[in-house]
Amino acid sequence: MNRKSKLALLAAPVLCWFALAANAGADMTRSEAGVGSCFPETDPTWDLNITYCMGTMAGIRNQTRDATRFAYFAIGSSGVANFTMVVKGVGYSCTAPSSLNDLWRTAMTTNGWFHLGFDRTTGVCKFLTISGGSNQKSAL
Amino acid sequence: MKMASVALLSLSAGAIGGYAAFPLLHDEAAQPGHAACGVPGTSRDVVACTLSPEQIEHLSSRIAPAVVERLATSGLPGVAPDANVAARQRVANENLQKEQAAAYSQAVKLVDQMIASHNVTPQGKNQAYELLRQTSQADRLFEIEARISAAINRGDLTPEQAGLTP
Repeated sequence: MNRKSKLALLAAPVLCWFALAANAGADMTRSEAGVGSCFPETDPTWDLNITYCMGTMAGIRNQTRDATRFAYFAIGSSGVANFTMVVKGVGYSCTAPSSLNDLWRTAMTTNGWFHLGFDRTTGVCKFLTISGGSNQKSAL
Repeated sequence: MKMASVALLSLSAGAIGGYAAFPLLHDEAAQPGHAACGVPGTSRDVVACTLSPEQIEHLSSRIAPAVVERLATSGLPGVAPDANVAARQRVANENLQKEQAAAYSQAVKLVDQMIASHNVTPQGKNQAYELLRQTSQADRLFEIEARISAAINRGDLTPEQAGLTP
């Protein structure tokens, strides 16, 4: 085996690893990350009473592992805005102060990511972030 | 020489005009409906006004009763001492606060009953909302709704039972 062949044999696994890692990242963006999840804050230096929910509407709609899963932004004529999400049969909900109403209207029609945090005990939404990027469009 | 005369004439005309126009531009107290206010000395920060009882009553509907009461009993020059006006305002304010607290408690009770029965209806929520609206507490509607959200997070209520499903 000449020197070139040895080098090729050594390089092949490295190249394969890079290819797999890149593909895993793409899958994460396209299907995994947008499927929706809710989880509590675990860092004791932050507020442990906060729960976060995130995902994309399309990702949640198109996932097939959890038939109960949905995310729902709503605003009524009373001006009260709600968020409700169910993951694996467990309900999560918060009600937003009126200062977030405009953002709520956008969230209802967004194609990008939503990420919100709320106080479990009071049921009050603390923040909502809506984002859209070239790498997230594939989550549609 | 001719130029100097024209300049002097213009300067004089301006001075006379300014002197005549000053009271028209600055005497706001002369306008009907305004309190008689003076500007002591040359300070523009301190204004003394003489307020009639009607004007105090009018103002008291816009500022805190405690302030009105303090003002009415202060004996400050220019303020007609009228403790009755302040007392009336205080009583009216106390009554409103009691009424608001009672309406809020009633609204909370209504929602908590719906949560306990696992059946939150739009009609029930509207009834609670109406209690708050009628007592000028529309800004607290979200507090009522947040109780429902908190019940879902505790697992006491499902989103379906709360009427919060698509």
